[in-house]
Amino acid sequence: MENYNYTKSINLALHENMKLNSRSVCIGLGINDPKRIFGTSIGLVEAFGEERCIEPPTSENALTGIALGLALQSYSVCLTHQRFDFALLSFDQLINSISKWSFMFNKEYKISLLVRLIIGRGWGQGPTHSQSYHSFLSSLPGLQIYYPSSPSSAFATISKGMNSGKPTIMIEHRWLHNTNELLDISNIDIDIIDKMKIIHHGDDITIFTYGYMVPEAFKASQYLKSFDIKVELISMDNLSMKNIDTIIDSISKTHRLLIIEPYYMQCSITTNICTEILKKITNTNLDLSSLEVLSLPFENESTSYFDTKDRYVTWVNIINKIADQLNQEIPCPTPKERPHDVPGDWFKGPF
Amino acid sequence: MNDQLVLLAFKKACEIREAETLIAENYNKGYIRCPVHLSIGQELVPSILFSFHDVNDFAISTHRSHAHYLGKGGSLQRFFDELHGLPSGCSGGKGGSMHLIDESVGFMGSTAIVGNSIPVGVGLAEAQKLSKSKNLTYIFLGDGATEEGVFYESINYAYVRKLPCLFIVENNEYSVYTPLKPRQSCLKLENKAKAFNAHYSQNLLHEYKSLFNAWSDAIKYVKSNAGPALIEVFTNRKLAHCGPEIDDNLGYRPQKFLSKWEKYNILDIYYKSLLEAGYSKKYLEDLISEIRQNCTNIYFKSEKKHIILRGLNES
Repeated sequence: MENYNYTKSINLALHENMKLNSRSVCIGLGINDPKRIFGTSIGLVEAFGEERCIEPPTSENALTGIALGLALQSYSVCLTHQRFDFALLSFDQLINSISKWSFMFNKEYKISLLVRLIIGRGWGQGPTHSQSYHSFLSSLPGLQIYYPSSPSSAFATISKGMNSGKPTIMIEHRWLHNTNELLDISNIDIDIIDKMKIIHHGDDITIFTYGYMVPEAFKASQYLKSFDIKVELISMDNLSMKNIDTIIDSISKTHRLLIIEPYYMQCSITTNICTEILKKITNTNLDLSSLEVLSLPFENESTSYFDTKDRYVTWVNIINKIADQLNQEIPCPTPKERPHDVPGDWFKGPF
Repeated sequence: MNDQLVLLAFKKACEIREAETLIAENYNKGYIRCPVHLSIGQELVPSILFSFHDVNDFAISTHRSHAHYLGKGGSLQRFFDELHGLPSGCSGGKGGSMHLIDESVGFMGSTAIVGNSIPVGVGLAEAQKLSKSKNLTYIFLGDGATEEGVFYESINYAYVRKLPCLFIVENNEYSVYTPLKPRQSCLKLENKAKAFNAHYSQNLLHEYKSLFNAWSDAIKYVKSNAGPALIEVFTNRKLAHCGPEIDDNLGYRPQKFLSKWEKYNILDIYYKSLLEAGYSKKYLEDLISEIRQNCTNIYFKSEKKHIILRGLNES
């Protein structure tokens, strides 16, 4: 077992897949530049050459169609956009071509095409560098959407996306890049990302969240444990997943639920999950008055340091919300003094 | 282009004209229940495509793709079946007129959003290059698609990566009802193509021999790893943008323009050349009748299947 951060596990997964399959290609702006997409593409071009590690023109839409053309010829392709916002230019190809190629032509094409979409936050990322329409993407038949919250699930998502034969979107939060996990990298079960996970066991309250809110919720769960509040924290990596039995089982036990949506609640995947829970509510004895939701305010993000202080949900917000729900006095934690717009000392900007 | 190749191109052009005419004539029966963008008048390009037939070359096309599909050698029965929404159609009835495919002959798909299939074609050419194939990819598009950003993204990428792409632009001068001038700041596609280092050639008045030669040169060029080529073929769609009607009563195309293209009907041009090459009128007329009969038989097989599947009574 070794300690790997999220960036390194992506890098290792890309190396492994490029090595195992000579018909695999990595493409994306910055893939061969000195910064190597936040370090995730280090060493690829040196190992596999410019034919297979393509530093392309700034043409997000065409690149996405080109990636499809390659995938249709049995190439395995990883296309990376350094921001989700940039990939909005490619939605014609993502939606009108990739998501429905197999449907339109009535054949189950093997399309091993992985599109990495990196989400920004803080440091003035603002209205056009922090958007995350993963919920919308998960509403499209024909795409599979993953939002890995840990280094191991990031590794698994790369491997699955480059081999599954199904067009795959990986939502990759910039603030997760420095999260760590002890891993046996040669022995990661890639199917783990297709199951709901219980990350913290408890029977007082259930939290359901995913993506970059998972570490925050985990931190809150651990803090609350020291006050004898036992949180059951459930998450998913596969946003196309329909089975919510794990949540139902948990709320049958806790009768209380806090849902944390990493982006806007409006038209989100978490509202779908609420609908699914409602369908099974008689099995759960869920106290509906306890149902709480945390999400971003439904407003674009300002670039100003001064405007964003209270925008994002943090582990402290989660603790306060649970204290309210349980009607308990819990001392408000005092986090280590740090500007609110960086994930840690490791982040020095610019994006 | 020898006489045999001219005859081959003529036969393909006749087949396309017959197929499209059958669709137009029978459309109002309501058995074809999807939008159709017919290629009557634009048979030159697909007939020349057929004279360079190679199933290992790929092609990708647009909403107006019937003729490209047939010019690439796509199955006529599965084409008519597709238009009739039948499971036996080339796209299982799921795609209809605007989403055709026949991979067995290298026709890799057509899609309905203007410019949408262009980069997919470039990606197919990238795959050909990476796998050291000796073949190329045809990317068919119209003049409207040259106004889309993705066209420029794609032709630029094709040059940067030196891909074997042959862009064939059929310029019928109208995007639905709108002529070129209010749409394009620079009317010369030549300038735009050359700005991206694409090898360019142009065909103004259905001169089939010069198109054949330009096509042959372009194939050699793109196969030499020099980058993409683009051939612009001025042509004329006889019918409405969408649907089976002649819509010249709307007056959006000047009479002078329409009269000019009446004189350059590609079927008449091929016919005349073949007469001059020594083929008899009877031979050519028999040939046309045979093609017509064959297309008709195949068409009505599809129509009959549609009627049976819907449980309708044949009228």
